[in-house]
Amino acid sequence: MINIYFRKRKRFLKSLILTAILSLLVFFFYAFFRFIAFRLFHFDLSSHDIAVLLLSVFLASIVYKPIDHFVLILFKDVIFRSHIHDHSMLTHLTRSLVSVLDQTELANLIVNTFGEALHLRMASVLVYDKSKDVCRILSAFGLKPSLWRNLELSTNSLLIELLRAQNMPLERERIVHSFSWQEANQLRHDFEQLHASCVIPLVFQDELIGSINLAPKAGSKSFTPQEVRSFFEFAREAATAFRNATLFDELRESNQELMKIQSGFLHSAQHSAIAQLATGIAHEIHNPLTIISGKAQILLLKRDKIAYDEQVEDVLKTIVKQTKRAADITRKLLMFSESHKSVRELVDFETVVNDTIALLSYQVSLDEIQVSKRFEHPIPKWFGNIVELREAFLNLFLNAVQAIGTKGTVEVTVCYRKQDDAIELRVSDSGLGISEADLVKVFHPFFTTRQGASGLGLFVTQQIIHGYHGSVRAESKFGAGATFIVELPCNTKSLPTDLEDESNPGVMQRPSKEQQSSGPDVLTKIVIP
Amino acid sequence: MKLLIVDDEAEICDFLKSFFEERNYEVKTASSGQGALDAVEQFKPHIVLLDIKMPGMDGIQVLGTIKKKSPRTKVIMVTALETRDKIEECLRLGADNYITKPLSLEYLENDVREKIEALTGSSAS
Repeated sequence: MINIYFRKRKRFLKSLILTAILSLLVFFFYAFFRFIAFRLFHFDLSSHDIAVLLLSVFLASIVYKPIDHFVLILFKDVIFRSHIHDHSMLTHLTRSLVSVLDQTELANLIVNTFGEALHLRMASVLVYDKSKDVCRILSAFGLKPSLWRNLELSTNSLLIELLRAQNMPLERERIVHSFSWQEANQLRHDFEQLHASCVIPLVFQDELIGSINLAPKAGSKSFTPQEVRSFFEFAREAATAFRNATLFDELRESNQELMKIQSGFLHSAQHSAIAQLATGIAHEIHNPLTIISGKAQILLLKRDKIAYDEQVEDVLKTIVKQTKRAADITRKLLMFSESHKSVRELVDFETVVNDTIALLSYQVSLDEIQVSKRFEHPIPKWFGNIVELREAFLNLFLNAVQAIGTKGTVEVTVCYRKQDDAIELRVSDSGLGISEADLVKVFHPFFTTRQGASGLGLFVTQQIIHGYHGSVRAESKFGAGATFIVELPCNTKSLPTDLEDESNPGVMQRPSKEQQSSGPDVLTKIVIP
Repeated sequence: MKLLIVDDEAEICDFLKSFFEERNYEVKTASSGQGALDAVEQFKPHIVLLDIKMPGMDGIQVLGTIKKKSPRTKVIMVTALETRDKIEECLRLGADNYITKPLSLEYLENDVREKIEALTGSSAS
């Protein structure tokens, strides 16, 4: 951005001028001493030349400091008017703004370029925050973060109102004179709050969206009119970029919100559908089961009075046993439907994995798919809902089996990672793998590469795992299979209290062993407190 | 001892009725919530076996009314629904037990007998 050659030449010229001035000063002092000594004391100092020269150098160096300041101003403002160069820098900046779509990034780019390339003492960007109805600093150069982080300017402060009304750059030194002392004071206060001496409005289609606030380079009090003009031109372009960034932000936010609502809706829709189904089934099936089982039980209880054939007694017992089994299935369904708030218990991972794989055995046996399991003991028991865990794993296993097609291997490994107190489950398949582009999308709802699939399985798995503050991710090389890794924290520390909550739900308890052994049993026994 | 069985499924009422009658209970049945409340008033049962899901007034409302009008009557909920919310609601309303279908007649009979003993024991003392 900065022409280095140009800069070097400038620096050389600057040191040349300074050396010349310094030499001039020394010469001046030297001549002065000689002149005074000769004229007033009729004394020739030529024999003490060195001493006089040293004294002159000493005096020159003392006087030099204040002169240096003016020289710099002279140098910058008169000899080297740098606004032509500034202008090209701003044009360049304008071009790079177009590609930035983040407000803060935009603000950073602007303040840093203004600050560093134009050597300004301070540069900051103020934007109007619609949600809070205030103007706040987005980024600043040359100010401590503590000074601007919480800096807010009310929208009805005089400075903002002026910017809005005039749509022109405001310079403190010029503007305050045209106001009554009260208003001038207020304006001065606003300028001081921003630590700025010049405020350039950012206006897009007659709407004030913010401002660029500047303090000139060290040594000068204000900007030249040309500078202010070029800043204002730049601000017009910058305003468009800011507007775009705001729109982009809004779009992104609403998009995220939409996705959140969508996933929440899916989850609840899925649950409520299952809940309705389960409640209906429980009622419709349990009543006939009650009648079948009840009548069989009545007959069985009469066996003392009526001597049954042994076979009949067997049949009656089977009826009672099998009706209980059928009822258990619907009961589990009901439990799944309310699993988001339902019972948590200590779960053995090995059992869950084995049970879940067993569900797939039929499909696997049809094709040539090898499923291997590996458990790296010891694996502690995990506290959670077994139905949810089963559902989460089933989707992963199904996904692996379906990825393979007809021939290949699925490998399931479970281990406990002591360092982070988490159980890790890995499911690897020898399928085609997932392309890099798809890898980020596999957990999105409705994402699927298979025809006829719902694209919900992995999404549901992710929802369940996240419910336990765990994580699930996919690793894959296209063409070399995929691995899904689930990490579930054990939270053994919080276990005792959790367990107590669950096992003591006020007044309900599980039936004792004797009750369980006495046939198709009630599941709950109430203890009156 | 008087027992009221409330279930919208007639067959369930019937076999439970014959089961308890064989064990010398005086049994009446009702097939709706309103019917149950009427029966409680006229028949004054010691124990009510109450189904939850019924057309019209459901078992939970009936339970609330019974416990309000005659708190001494023991109510055992007999239901196909076993959600945690329902169980908790019944207990809060004062249900004396919560049994899920299909029933174990042995367990049910024991429970009914316990409740009766508690009633007669407390009235004797």
